[in-house]
Amino acid sequence: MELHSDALRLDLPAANKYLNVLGACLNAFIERIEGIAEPRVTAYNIELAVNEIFANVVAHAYGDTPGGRVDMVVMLASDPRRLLIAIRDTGIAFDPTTVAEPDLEDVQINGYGLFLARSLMDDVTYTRCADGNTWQLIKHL
Amino acid sequence: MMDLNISDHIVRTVVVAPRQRIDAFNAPELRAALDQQLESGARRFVLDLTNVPFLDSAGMAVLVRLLKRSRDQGGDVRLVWPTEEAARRIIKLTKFDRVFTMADTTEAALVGF
Repeated sequence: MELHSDALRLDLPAANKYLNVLGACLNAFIERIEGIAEPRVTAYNIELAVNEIFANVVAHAYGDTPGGRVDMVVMLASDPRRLLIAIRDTGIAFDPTTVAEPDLEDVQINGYGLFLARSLMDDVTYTRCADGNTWQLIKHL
Repeated sequence: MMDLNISDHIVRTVVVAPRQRIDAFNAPELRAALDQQLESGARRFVLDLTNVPFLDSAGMAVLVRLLKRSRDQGGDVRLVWPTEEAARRIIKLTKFDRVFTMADTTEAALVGF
């Protein structure tokens, strides 16, 4: 993703402790975008989707390996107007196809994370690169 | 003296009302608190989500785990709807509202429990 001059870049320790920091940054960024339908619900949904990917990176890409970082870029693109979020880590590869969709007719303890991210965003893609993983999330606004 | 057999029938219901976001960082703390209640014999729970501003899948996992463990022991879990509209929609999206008995208030959740 080419970095726009008004893009936000966050470099966070890969630890769930910082989920609230991530959420606060996203909410603040979205709060000043004008003309969003249902801004509070939209901001919540984006925060939840990103929260789930971040927690997934912490759990799977880094696992018990300490010292990992997560690099996140947030920017608003136009035509059509959409929020682009890239989440990068340098951990081990993740294969999203191994994660089963939750059976919504039979409640379960795990498996809602990626389902929520995919349901709440317009597009969620995962790419394995030479030095890590990149998740790209898109939400049309 | 009249022959009366009098006994108390006391049903214990634990009401838990978190007042902050529940995410993958602090969900283990909530799980531990609920496990402690289960271990002390509690089987019926009301989880009042009224003042929970944010709930992620780790928090949802704690709710499902509690539901399964309490139902295994003959109990149940009822949820009070969160105030946050987006959180309410997530509960519907994941169909949690069909699995848990939902209520608008703690008082309503306790009726007939």
